[in-house]
Amino acid sequence: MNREEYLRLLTGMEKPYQYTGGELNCADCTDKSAKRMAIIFPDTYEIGMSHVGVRIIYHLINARDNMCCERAFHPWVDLEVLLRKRDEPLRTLETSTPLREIPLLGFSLAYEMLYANVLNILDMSKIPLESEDREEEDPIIMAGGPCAYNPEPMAPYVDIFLIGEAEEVICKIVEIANDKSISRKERILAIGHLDGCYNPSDTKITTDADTGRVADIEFISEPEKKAVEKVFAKDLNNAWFPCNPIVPNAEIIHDRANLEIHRGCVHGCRFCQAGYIYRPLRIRSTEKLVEMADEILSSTGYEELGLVSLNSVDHPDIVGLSTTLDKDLHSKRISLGFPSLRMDAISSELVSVLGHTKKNNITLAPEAGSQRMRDLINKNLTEEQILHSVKTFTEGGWQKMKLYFMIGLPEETDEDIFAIADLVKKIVGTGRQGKKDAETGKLQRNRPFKVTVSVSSFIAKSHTPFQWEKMADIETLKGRMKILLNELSKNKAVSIKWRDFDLGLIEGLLARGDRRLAPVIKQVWEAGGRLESWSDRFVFNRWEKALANEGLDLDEYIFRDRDEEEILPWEHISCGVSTDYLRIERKKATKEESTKNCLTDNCSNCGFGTDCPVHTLKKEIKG
Amino acid sequence: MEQPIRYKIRVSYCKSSTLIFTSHRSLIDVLMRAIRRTKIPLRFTEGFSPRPKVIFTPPLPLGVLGEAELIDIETTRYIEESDLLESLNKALPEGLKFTSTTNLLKGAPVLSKMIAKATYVLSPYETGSKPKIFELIESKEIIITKKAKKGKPPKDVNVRPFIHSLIEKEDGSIVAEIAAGDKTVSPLILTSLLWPELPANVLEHVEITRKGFISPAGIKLY
Repeated sequence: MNREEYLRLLTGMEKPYQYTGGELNCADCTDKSAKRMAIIFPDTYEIGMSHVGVRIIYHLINARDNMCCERAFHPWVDLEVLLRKRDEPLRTLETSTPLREIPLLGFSLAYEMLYANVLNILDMSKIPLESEDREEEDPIIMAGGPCAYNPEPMAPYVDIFLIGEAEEVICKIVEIANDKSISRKERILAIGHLDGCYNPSDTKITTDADTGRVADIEFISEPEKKAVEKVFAKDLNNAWFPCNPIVPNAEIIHDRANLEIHRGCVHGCRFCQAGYIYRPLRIRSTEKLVEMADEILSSTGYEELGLVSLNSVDHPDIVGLSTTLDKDLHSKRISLGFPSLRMDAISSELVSVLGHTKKNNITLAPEAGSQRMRDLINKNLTEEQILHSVKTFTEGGWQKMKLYFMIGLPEETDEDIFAIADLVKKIVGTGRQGKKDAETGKLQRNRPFKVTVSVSSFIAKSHTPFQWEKMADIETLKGRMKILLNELSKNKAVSIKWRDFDLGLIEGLLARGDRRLAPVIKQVWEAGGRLESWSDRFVFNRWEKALANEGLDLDEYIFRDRDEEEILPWEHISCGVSTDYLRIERKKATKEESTKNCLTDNCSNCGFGTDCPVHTLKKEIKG
Repeated sequence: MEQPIRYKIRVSYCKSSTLIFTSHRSLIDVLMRAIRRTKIPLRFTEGFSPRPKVIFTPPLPLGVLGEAELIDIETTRYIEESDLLESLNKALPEGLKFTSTTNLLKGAPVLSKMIAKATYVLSPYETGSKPKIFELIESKEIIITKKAKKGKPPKDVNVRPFIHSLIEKEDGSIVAEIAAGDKTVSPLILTSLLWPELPANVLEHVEITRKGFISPAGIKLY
């Protein structure tokens, strides 16, 4: 089937554009002599194309003269049904090539609920699911992204995991994967020896006969190696970032030009995996960013520029940067967006810049209601600071705010839930006061002010101080949610949303799972599990059944405190933050002691040593 | 901000290849971004979220090619036609090409008043059964059950008055002139009326192209 025939086949689909490519700035991948790879985000196009990491890798490889990177996504249900009915394989967007004909497939594992989708894509591409069943002509299956930090649940299905920031090694991997002078096995072995690469078939994991838990991990061809260390860009200012990104032909989730202003986070909230695995903080300079913004907007024509990072206010020059950008963009009717702005400690200067773009959703993430709990999770935020932010915003004219809270945190009691309700009420009270009347000097009262409270359950993740913690069971979570609803549902200024707690349990299961879960994932897929990040397609029962079939249960993985001496399933994967540091942080959590932001305060010795880029950054700020 | 004097440009473009899968709503974004890249000084609506002042021809159904689609753009200053076309065609997604531009004179009729009919070409990929041209032309009434908006029952519509002419060409394709605007028949439905044996997704078997529009006075705008 050639490209024309494939496009004709797609005419009957609900959203055919997600399979066709051809968008502005997409790469020409027709050069048959080029070294090839395909990057696959195993969810739909509109989600995958909103993922900045995928875009970085795609454009980085395509900027090379002799390399091509194509894209593929998980098809929506209608195309899967059609492809299976006609016995046709899944194809790339750029050249409509069946995935199995491309030497290297890189899957982005951005969240746990993508695992079954990976299996489904392999199956639709007629590639054997298990690494050990693949043959000489099969592609090398690679996986990266945050979930690769705990690779074991997917280990039997993936040839190479890439730990860290792919831009550092991806071109070397493409070279080797395309080298047909050596066998497939040799190629995988060679890639496995590169920095940041983990080759499960070259790793011996011994399990305890009684408990089934990990007893020993050994790198077969590199017996000296203790762990795979993540790779990361030391100098972000000069790291690759696409200034001519693809502009989709239809609306996607984050439909805007993106500019990554910094990477990493200095806050160290103890539940947050991103706060640890993306360390250390690295920034791009204002000068560089202004230049990049201009280039990106000229090459795309976008009407919105989003400043992307884990938390935009952490950029040391966020006010200068946004003021400079806003001056230029405002006259061009381009709006400036802060998609991940945590307004926890906000300056009024920034508020005035934001004032231009009122469609910005203001989000505040206190995460917990009581001071005790905020100290325990190291949120470093007092009630006074929270209410001050609310006041700053309402004075700036905002009448809506989104609040993030987490329930089921370690050591949490019902009292902490009542504290969430109290805090929400205080926020509403502060919001309603509004600004002082210019003439009378009195505070305005009963201004319209609304908050959306978004509740999610705590999920213990690997590589965080809470990696040993047990999670709250479903009864506890439901009970606490009920308290919150009782307290808040009568308040007309408050609307409450919460994430499916069952889904959170399965994410928790996979996030700290081991290799025993691989057959569970497969069974879930076989029973129809796919696209489960779409909550209406998630079936908890399917997971329960598969666990039971394997003689496993949630108690083993998420409802028990793990011993600090236990060998964790991700012991052999290092994100640069030392396990000792995580232990210290955990101890501090139990004492409700906080650890300060390492950019504005002292270095907390988390493991990057003397060449940590934050040291240099601090000197630059001082100088 | 004060709005400067208005200048209007009529731009003609084709929509083909992968871009035929972009809906009308999304196409507006694609076109506006293409225009923004040229740095043409667009005229915006007033208000909190200003939008560029543009008018489009009626939507093309998903999967249908367009050879001479039109947009009217308002700008804040006069722009030389030759420069415009070149800069518009500089960076575009696959399947979008601007073909001509005209500066409109003051008092020129608005786009919707210029459009009465549209010409479509329906070309089957494989030669199959004879199309039912005569049957359609001879019928006094062709009743189609139209899906209504949510909650309302489907409606029966006689689409015969919307079909102005059907001509079969030597290569087996059919040139159809049908009404443009709200009261019309979808070219997809027309195709399944002509070849009733086709499966529900006619586009896998027939290429449908909108050649362009015809004015109330019968002047072809393509």
